[in-house]
Amino acid sequence: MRTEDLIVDLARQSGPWTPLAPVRVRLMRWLALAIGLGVVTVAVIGARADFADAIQRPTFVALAVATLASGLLAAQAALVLSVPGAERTPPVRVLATILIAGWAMTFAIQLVAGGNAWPRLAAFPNHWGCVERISALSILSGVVLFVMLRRAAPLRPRMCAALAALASTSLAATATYIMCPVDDPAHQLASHVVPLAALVLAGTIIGVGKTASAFRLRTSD
Amino acid sequence: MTADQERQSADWMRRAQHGDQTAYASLLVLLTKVTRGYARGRLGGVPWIDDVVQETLLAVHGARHTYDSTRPFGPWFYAIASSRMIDVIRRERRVSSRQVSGDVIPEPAAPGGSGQDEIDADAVHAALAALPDRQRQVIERMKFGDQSVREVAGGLGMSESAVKVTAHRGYRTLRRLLGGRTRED
Repeated sequence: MRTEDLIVDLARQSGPWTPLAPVRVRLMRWLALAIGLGVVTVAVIGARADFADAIQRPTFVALAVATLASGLLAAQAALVLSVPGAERTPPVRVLATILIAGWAMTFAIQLVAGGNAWPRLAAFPNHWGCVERISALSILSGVVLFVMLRRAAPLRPRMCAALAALASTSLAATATYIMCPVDDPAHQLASHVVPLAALVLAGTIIGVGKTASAFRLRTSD
Repeated sequence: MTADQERQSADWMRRAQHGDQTAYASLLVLLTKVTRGYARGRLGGVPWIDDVVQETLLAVHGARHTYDSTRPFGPWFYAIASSRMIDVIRRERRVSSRQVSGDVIPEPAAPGGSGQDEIDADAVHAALAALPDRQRQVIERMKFGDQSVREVAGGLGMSESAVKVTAHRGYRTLRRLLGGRTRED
């Protein structure tokens, strides 16, 4: 097909269109849903019994803030990346990753500092309730975020999908952390960190095909 | 892209957004020129510059709703153009490596018995199998499935323009893989 014919073809197909909403608007919409979902879940299931005491502890607050901030930054970075040429601050995605890595590392350090790390980790019963909550909240908010990304034009689908998966799982981890009464780092690693890592990986693998195909199918191969 | 071209592009894009097809066609003509220069500057005189240009035009068309008229046009456009150029380079390398490996495409049947224009069916099937997935699907549906461009577009979730471009590119790759022995598409 000659380029001149393609131009005629594309111009003929083109009609008025509605531009995609700005990133901040799309971010607010998604956060309203994701955080709203977390708040409703916490309200229905209930926060941990000693929540009033827990928020007095700097470590508890710092860990909750780390996952929350990681979720916000990752969501923003994913939405920005889905618009060609819009990314001006790559450090945002690096910061999101550092925060979630710091969160995970804190539990690992606590576990090692307590001694007998491996036996404790192996002996600690897995709490499926936490795994289920993180999974359910991640999937619900993650699906919506992936749909939002598909509607844009992600030129780097792998990075976009990974950030979207990180965003939804981080916010889900925040809500679960508020509900979970078990502070033992062995539990946090086995029932919070590992599921989060697995969900980010699964979300990236599934999401990369979905986000990439949506844009690529509008073009050619 | 000069500052004037960028301003002009942004203006045409705004008009096209409200349905002005002439402005949109003018924009695409300008982008063709800009992309060709951009690709030549980076790739030299490779024979598939037009692939980069067409891919970029299709991508601009597919992503036009993401352009924010309050932002400069250049970064938006060049992000698309460079991404498409990388995709085309990767695809060309893949096709070339299949061609060079030599064991993918059987030798065409010796001319003689049934006429010089005929090609061994195995060679054609092997060449088809060596095509990028999307090109193969489009050609199989159009040639073996007797589907129209519109039907293929609907079936594969592509635009009709993308189907035509993909088919054209697939025929050209087939010609190359079969050593230029095919009859007219």
